Amino acid sequence: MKWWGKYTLTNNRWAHWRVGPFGLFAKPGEREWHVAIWQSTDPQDSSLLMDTGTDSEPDVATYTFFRYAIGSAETELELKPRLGDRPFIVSPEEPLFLLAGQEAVLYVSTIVWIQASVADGDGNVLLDVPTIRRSDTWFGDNTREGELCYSTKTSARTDLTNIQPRPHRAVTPVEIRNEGAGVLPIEQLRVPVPALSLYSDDGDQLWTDAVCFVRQEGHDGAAMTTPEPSAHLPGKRTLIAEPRVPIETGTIVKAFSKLLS
Amino acid sequence: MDALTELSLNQQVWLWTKAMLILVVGLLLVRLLANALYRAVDGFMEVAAALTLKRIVIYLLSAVVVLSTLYQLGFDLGVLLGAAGILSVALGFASQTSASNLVSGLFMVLEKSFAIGDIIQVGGTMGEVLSIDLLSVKVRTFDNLFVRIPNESLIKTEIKNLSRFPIRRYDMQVGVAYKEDLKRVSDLLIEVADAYEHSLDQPRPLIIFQGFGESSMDLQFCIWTTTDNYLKVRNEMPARVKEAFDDAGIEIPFPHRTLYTGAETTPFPIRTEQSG
Repeated sequence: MKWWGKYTLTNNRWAHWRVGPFGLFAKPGEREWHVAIWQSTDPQDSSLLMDTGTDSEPDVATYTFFRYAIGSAETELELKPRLGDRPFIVSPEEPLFLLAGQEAVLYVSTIVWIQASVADGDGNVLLDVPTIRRSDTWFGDNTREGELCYSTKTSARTDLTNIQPRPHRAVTPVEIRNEGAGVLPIEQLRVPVPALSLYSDDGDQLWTDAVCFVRQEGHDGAAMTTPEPSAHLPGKRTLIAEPRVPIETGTIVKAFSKLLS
Repeated sequence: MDALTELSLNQQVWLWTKAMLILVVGLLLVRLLANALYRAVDGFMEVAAALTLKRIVIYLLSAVVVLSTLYQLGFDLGVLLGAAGILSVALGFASQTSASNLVSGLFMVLEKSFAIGDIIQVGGTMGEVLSIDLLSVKVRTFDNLFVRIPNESLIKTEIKNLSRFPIRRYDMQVGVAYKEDLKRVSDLLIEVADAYEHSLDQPRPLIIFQGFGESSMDLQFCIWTTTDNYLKVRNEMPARVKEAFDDAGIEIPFPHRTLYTGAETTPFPIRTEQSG
């Protein structure tokens, strides 16, 4: 069941959504909006709730409150899933190796952001937050040069049917080709989610563009390409959100990295 | 005779007018040229370096304009240059320190050890760099004091740039009682770091055994965080470690002394007193 879309709310009455570990309350007022959010720490939570007129109120002890002054008296709120604003470093839960000359497609999932905006035509974004708090991590050859990313663990499924649908996560097909002579240990994968588009399939599961990493002989890194962004994706899908930033294809990207000491 | 006087008066007026024109237009052109040069190098050089270059161009070209004006007015530049030569020798002796600061400043700008906005520590002064000028660097300390540091002293002093790199390591000294299991303590510290949102997953937190201290086993607990969050981590991490130790029953010992006088010692006498 999809949770995104436009919702018409009632003035001075709370509406409540629960998307996995993320809780959201929103209430339109007279030229203002009240919003309260809560993020749990349980990544396995797959709750889904949509109630556009509830009598319950957000718990002041656990929710964080925001109040926005706005020029219009619009009561329609649009919720939209977005991908993260930084790349994700995805680590397999179990050690994973790719033999020489082999290729594999792994399905990894990353959390989505929820963007709530007033549907008044001006695109007034009230919030753009992750559905669960993520850990920061550093990705680079050393502590001087690199980039700040988010980290997550993955089961790295190779079979689509084993993927558990969750409303707060988007699945990215990651194709890895080992054209080197040795076994490739896959310790970390840098998934550039800000540069990917977001889709939904018939079952309202969220997907992103596919990415492909090719490791060539003699190279520590891997060239990342998205030659066929739709590869390994379900046939029927709907575009939900454009990438946050444009992708640079063919760039040598340190997709694989030794653990920093 | 009157015509001659009037002619020379007209000539004088024309001379002065021409000289003033050269001066005004010249200085205006110098300003325009310097601004154009600044805009051209702005994207390629640090702001401080670009400003320094602009000032040098203004001073040099303004001097040329002034000399041209004086030449137009009929001054003998030879005499001026001679006087300037003597003056420069005197000024040279008087401004050794300033010249040293100037040269040091140029080298510092070229070296790019720090830039405007960086947080630096020089000796006992720590603060934000406000400007890198010809003779000195201006710093605002965190308690809002204005500090002027001469470039000459900066070039020969160790400077720590605390904001150069995006991530930083926070080292925390932890002492635990001798009765504690070191592996259990280490595992608990790693758990605390992993549960803390501002602790980076990579590079991994690190525990370094420092030694068997007088009253405790001393460990150094190192966690990485973003430079922006360093102060927050420095304040919050010790509280989290303390809380975790309390929950796990791990003792952080006070310094204590054991008096031991050998196997033949008789017991120490103890006397109790009732209050009240």
